[in-house]
Amino acid sequence: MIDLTTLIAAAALAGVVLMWLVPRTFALDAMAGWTLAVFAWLSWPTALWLALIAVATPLVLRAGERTARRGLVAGGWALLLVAGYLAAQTMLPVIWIGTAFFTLRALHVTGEWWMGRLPAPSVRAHCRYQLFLPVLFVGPIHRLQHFERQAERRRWDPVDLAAGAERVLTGLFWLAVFGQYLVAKVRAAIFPTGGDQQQFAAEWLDSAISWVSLYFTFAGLSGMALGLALMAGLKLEENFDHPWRATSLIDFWSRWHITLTTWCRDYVYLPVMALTRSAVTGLAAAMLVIGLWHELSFYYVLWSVWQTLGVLINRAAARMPVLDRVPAALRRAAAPMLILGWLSLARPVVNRLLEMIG
Amino acid sequence: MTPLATLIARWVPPMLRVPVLALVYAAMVAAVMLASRAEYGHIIYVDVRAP
Repeated sequence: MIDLTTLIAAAALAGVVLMWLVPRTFALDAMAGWTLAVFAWLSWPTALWLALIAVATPLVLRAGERTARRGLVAGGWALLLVAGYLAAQTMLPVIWIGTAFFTLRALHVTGEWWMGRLPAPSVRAHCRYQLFLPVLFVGPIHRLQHFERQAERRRWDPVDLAAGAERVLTGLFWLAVFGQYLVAKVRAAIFPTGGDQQQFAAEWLDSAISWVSLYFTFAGLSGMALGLALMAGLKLEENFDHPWRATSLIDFWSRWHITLTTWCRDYVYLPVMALTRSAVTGLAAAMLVIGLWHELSFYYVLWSVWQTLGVLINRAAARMPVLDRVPAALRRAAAPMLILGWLSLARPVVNRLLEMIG
Repeated sequence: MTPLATLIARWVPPMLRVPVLALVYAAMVAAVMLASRAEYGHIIYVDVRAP
């Protein structure tokens, strides 16, 4: 049986072919129509909500331009978008696809408009931006301005087409061979009987393996999405920048799921920091949003506290002169292990805390 | 040139570049097909929420 991920990837590839078959002016409109048709077939509630967001967001913002209360319009619409996202998270009898991604895109457009950095887009431009199938279920959370620039520059280029196709294949290779198959083999070799997850060290090690698997899987999927976009003639934002080369936890968060972390920087960290004049509060709020974006649960609330703590410790450690005496080569070699150690320690620590709380 | 073709061009003589690239692609497809027999767990970043 073909799983949903494969099905959407195949549908996205068909959409790319469609984009090159229709006249250039209507290529992205054709992709938008195709995206809606695919979503209507796979999950009509998602299609309905996505279509509503795609059409209503520019209409609401245009209406807002005629009033003096831009903040009220933007805030009210943002609340409705978040409420829709929360409802999608809890209405599990229905399949929801990509809500976490397209909600953040709509919030980005609303936020940029409110801050005066973007005029209200036309319904057509916003539909083309929101209904772009290759990036709908796995990101990146691309920006409207960049997307429109790419759409304007879009030209037939066989080199881009070949590079995009190669990236799709490479992404698939990372996902299937490294992220799933090899990691499963390593896990089976380390835990031949499934492992005793009650043991703290075993759970920590398993969590570290999961992070490695997650990297190859997610970077592979992002690569596939970006490759499909490139095949369609659009160079969208990268989601990863060699996170294993990070020299600190702060550096890591600027290299991992970049489009989400920059989204949180722009629309959570900076506004909260400006309001409270506290970088720590801004950081905690941004981490909380990152955590809850993954899953609405108390586990991810505690996870975000752990990751905030990590960044704060990292900041404090960077100011300690004793670290300057450690050779740079040693620091560089130890950094990936320390970072992976901290990130993966979250699971056993949070699980123990949840057990203690009951 | 694609990134892989650029990489291969650095190490392989011109007349062998195309066959080597074709071999690399074929090996990747074969590896993906073999690896795909394994059952995948839920991938959290694939945003599909189903009952």
